[in-house]
Amino acid sequence: MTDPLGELKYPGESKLVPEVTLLPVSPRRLLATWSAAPGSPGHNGNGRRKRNGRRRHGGKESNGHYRLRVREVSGVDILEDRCNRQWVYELGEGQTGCMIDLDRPGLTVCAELIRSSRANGKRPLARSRRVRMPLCEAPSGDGRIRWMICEQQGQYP
Amino acid sequence: MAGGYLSIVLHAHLPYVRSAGRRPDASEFWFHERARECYLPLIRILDGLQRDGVRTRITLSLSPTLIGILRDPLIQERLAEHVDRMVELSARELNRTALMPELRNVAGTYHLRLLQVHNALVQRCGGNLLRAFAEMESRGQLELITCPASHAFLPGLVAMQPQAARCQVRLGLDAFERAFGHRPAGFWLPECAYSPELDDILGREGVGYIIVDGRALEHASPPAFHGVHAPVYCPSGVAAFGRDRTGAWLMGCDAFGHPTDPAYRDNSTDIADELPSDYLRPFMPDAGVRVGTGIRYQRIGGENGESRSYARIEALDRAAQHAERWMRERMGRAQSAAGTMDRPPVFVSAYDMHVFGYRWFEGIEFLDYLLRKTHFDQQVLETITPAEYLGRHRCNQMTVPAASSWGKRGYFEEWVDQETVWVYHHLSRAARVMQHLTEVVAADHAGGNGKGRADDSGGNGDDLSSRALRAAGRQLVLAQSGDWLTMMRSPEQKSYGRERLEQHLSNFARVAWQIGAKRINAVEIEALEREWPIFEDIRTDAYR
Repeated sequence: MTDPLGELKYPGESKLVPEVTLLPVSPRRLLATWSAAPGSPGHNGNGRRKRNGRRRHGGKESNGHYRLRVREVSGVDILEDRCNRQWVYELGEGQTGCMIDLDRPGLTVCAELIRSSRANGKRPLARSRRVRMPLCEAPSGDGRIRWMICEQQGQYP
Repeated sequence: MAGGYLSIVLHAHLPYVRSAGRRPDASEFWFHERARECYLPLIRILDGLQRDGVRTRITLSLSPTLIGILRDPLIQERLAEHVDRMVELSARELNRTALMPELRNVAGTYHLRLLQVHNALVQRCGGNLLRAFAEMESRGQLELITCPASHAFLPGLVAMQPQAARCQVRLGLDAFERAFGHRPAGFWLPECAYSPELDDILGREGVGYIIVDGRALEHASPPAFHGVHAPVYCPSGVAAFGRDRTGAWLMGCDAFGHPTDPAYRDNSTDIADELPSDYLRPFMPDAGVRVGTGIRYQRIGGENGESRSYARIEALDRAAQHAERWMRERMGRAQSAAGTMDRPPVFVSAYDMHVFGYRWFEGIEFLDYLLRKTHFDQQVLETITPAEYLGRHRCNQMTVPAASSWGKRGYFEEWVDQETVWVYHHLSRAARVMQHLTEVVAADHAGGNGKGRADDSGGNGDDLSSRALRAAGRQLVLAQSGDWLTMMRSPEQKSYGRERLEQHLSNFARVAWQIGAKRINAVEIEALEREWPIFEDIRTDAYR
């Protein structure tokens, strides 16, 4: 959807460092948004997935200058192969956020906003913190059960 | 000791709707409708239960925006006028239906009900509903709690800017304390939406307990030992009660709280849609807008040639049956759980308050019957509030509840989708700018050049820059309301939700530019303070 407030500008943004934020929407879906500081894309649209791991997916080649790279940092091995997959999204001009669909629930991911230009090559503009996606079911393993007694400011009768 | 605890939690919230004009507009009528059909009837039945010696423990969550509406003398005055007009309309309906026996009985019911509502408002509450709620809390019938300042969708906010989530929580608690003179023990999370990142904020702000969706405990890490039948402590020490999802629906209603039993009143037909404009004009807001009068003569059933006329006695009879079944179902589960737990199970039944009376006309009576039956007709269940439960059972499991909400599929898809990406983008940017401005104003107050240590009182004084900062903060808090996201998904309310969001963000940006440029327009700040008289004591230091 087009941003109806696309023209709205806030003061002091030029002094702020660009930032990428991730919000887990469901076990397999993630929202990524980034600030519109100088050097980052402006307003809205949708990302187009370009690459998944070492394999190329469909979609046009990039003709824009910004990319969002989402990396899995779960730190787990699957079939003796360390999971370090990544998904790269080409961002349209003025785009401010996109939905990312992951293939499994419970992944730990982080994202990076990258600007590529002929002069400077690929330059990371901002990194998000790591985000753990929710699981679709109760976590496996029993886990140690801990009990505690707690009283917040004597509020309970 | 009881065989099980029943904890009924009702959450009442409305976005801040206040007409600046002489007469209320359609959005303020939302409040009038709910006051007339939910809040005042609830006060009436709770008084009745007290009079009859029925032990009642209910938790009522009042959102800070609703508290702001209920405290406003102008809105109180308009509510009284509205109830007067509705009594007059119901009296006219008695005359109009004099020769229609089927309708006449129902018209009589409405007239009587509205007279009771009028008495509750004028004689019982003196026009101020908050006073009645406070009194019920002091006599132990109600436990009052609150929620984030403008009912923000907290997992979204905390992911974008933790300071914004902290400001929402702090401001909500402050608004409650200002209205009731004490901090609430519990805190309602809008949409029961929880993410583990919220725990630290809630703990630091002194929240005692929260209500989460059952899934949050079932998928907790490690899983909750007793499932949703006992609360857990989050790492910060905040207790989390799991909403009892297995019985979350109400008997006679679907999952959304819409009545389905054929005997219940049909909410889709209103005399406002059927009668001529001339007849209704005195009872409607300005500009020819038609709003629901709450006078409805049809029931849901009656497709096979039966009469569709609403029969009040039959509907109340069905509500009593549903209350009995609802109670028996929980009694059975309490007895089943008895052998597997070291304590009685607690069933937290958390609902949107507006289901009772507003969406489900007989819902208020259902609640009345349920509380009476629980008191008189059985020995297994005992009504309890979450704080009371924690007073009795202090030792609970510690775990990390999972991210979840009470929305569709249990996560956040209802509030975050392709259509609303731009909203999060703006809220994130605006919150970062707010943080920046707070630091700038604090540095100015320190008399510095921005390099010295910021003065702690920066932004909380009476000087123009502090007032402007608070005005900007207020507009940002209102823009963060989760209501706009919900409305933007509804075809009828989409434009209103979007307009309000745009209005608050534009106001914020305008004031922010003035603060940034150090050219504050005092007249404009005063106009904003007058137009939005809520969260007067907003403390912008949450952003630092």
